[in-house]
Amino acid sequence: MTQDLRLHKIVLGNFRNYTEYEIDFHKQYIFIIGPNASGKSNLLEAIEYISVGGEVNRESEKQILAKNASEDFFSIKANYELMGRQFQLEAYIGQRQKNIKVNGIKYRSINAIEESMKAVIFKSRESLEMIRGNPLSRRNWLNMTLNLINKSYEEALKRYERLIEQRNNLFKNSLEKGNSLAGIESELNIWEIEISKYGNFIQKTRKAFFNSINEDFQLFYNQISDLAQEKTNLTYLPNPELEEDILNPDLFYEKLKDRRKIDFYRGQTSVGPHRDDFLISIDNQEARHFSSQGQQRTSALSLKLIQLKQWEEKLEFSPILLLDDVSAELDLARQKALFNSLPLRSQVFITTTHLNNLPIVPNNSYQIINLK
Amino acid sequence: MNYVLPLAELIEQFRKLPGVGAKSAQRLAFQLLSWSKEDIKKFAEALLKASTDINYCPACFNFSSGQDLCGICSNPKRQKKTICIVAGIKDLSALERTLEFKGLYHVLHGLISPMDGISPENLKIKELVQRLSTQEEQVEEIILALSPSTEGEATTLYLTRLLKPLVGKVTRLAFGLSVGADIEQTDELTLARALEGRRDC
Ligand SMILES: [Zn+2]
Repeated sequence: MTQDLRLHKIVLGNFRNYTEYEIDFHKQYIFIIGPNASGKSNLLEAIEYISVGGEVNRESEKQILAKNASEDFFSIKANYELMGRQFQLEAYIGQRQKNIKVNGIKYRSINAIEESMKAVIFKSRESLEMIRGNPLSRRNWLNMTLNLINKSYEEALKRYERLIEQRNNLFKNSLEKGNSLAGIESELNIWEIEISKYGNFIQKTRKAFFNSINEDFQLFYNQISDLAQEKTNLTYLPNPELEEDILNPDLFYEKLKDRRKIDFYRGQTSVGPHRDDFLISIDNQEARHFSSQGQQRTSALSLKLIQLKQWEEKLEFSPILLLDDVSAELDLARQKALFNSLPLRSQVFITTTHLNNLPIVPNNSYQIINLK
Repeated sequence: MNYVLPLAELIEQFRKLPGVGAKSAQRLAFQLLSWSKEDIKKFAEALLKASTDINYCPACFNFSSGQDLCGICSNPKRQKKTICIVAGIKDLSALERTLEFKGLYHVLHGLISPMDGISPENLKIKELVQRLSTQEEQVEEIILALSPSTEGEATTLYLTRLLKPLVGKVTRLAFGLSVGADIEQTDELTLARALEGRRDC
């Protein structure tokens, strides 16, 4: 039987607490056990860094670099197998330059690699942030999930973000030069037409997406919580809010036009999908404000499971799963339920402080890594 | 390393070129010094002549020598009813390599991009409008040959709106190209096809 995606080996240089570290993975389930601050999460973060789906951003990159007082770079090498083919990835990240290669071919970023590793990450604390925090963390989840399954969406999003930059810059430049709003109108029209075109595509895609995942959300939610009676709902909240439930580029264009005066002086764009959000409700209560921590955790996990399911369908293989210290945050029943919801073919990396917290997996299918 | 002053200055000049680092600048300077006096003189004269004699064509803003029209505008075989609008001279060269296009060009010298501080007034757009009303032979078609980037698309839209009331037909290239594609880096066959399959704006 061909295996889907397997990470076989990772070699770290100057990565967080790892000056030099090399480890082979040769099983489906990898349990990484050690006390706090032993570097468990750092090992997962390294895998996250070289995978699409990771949430390691430029900020954390800077942090990793800043911690390396003596060296101004870090490196990650990895060997992985994807649908029967072998890949060797090398990433050198320095203050000034980034060098990423797979099988000797250079890439701009991990996202640009055609046959990259894909990972879905379960981090309890950050998942909670997705439910409780500001809309940005929810949009990040939404965009990451959609970018992989819909290339047109990814392209539209990139263009949209650049168009917003252009509109904002047009305002800033005009204000600096003392130009009036009337003086830039014909150019402004152009940017706004383009913005409404791509923005509308983004919102239509998001709307269809939420329509398609509501049932799954309820399903996953019930699987993890044993209170099957709770009724969940995901509601897409497009910006601008529309009186009628119609996403229409002309309406969006009109809203942009309405905001010109305000936006001109702020150098910002105050309407559009870059301000979208979605609402999670449990028994008609907004989860963000009114739910218990347990309900919020279950909601966050359900969103991750949706991401996983959507990706699996698109990819035709199971992404790697990274479970960072979920045992500390989930009760045993929820842990077990979560584990039962995971795809059978994924390689799973789990960090934990105690061996007895581990889920039960088939003999010979797991490997234990002890960190001190 | 410390070089005698004239050599150090020469290296410094080479370093101003794009993509030339300290090492390459050194290599270029040493290479040049190995030439005969005669060859060096020719090289220096070519540089000077280029900077003084090359100007922009007053009609299309392609390169031209002196104050004259460029080779394309002054060629009687080119038909003057069609003007192809490009962002830069490199794009013009790429289209010329296809040998498909027999009309004239107009070089904008950039694309609208507030991020880079470029507004329509910074481009040769006023000059284009002027040209349309003053050119002896009536212009019947304008082809917008701008790259499908975010800024290329926006500039295409801007020009479409501006030019449609002035010219009978405004068309754009049919791009089967990927979105990030630059015209100057597109092969001749693809460009020729894009030109042939152009569509109304
Ligand atoms: Zn000319």
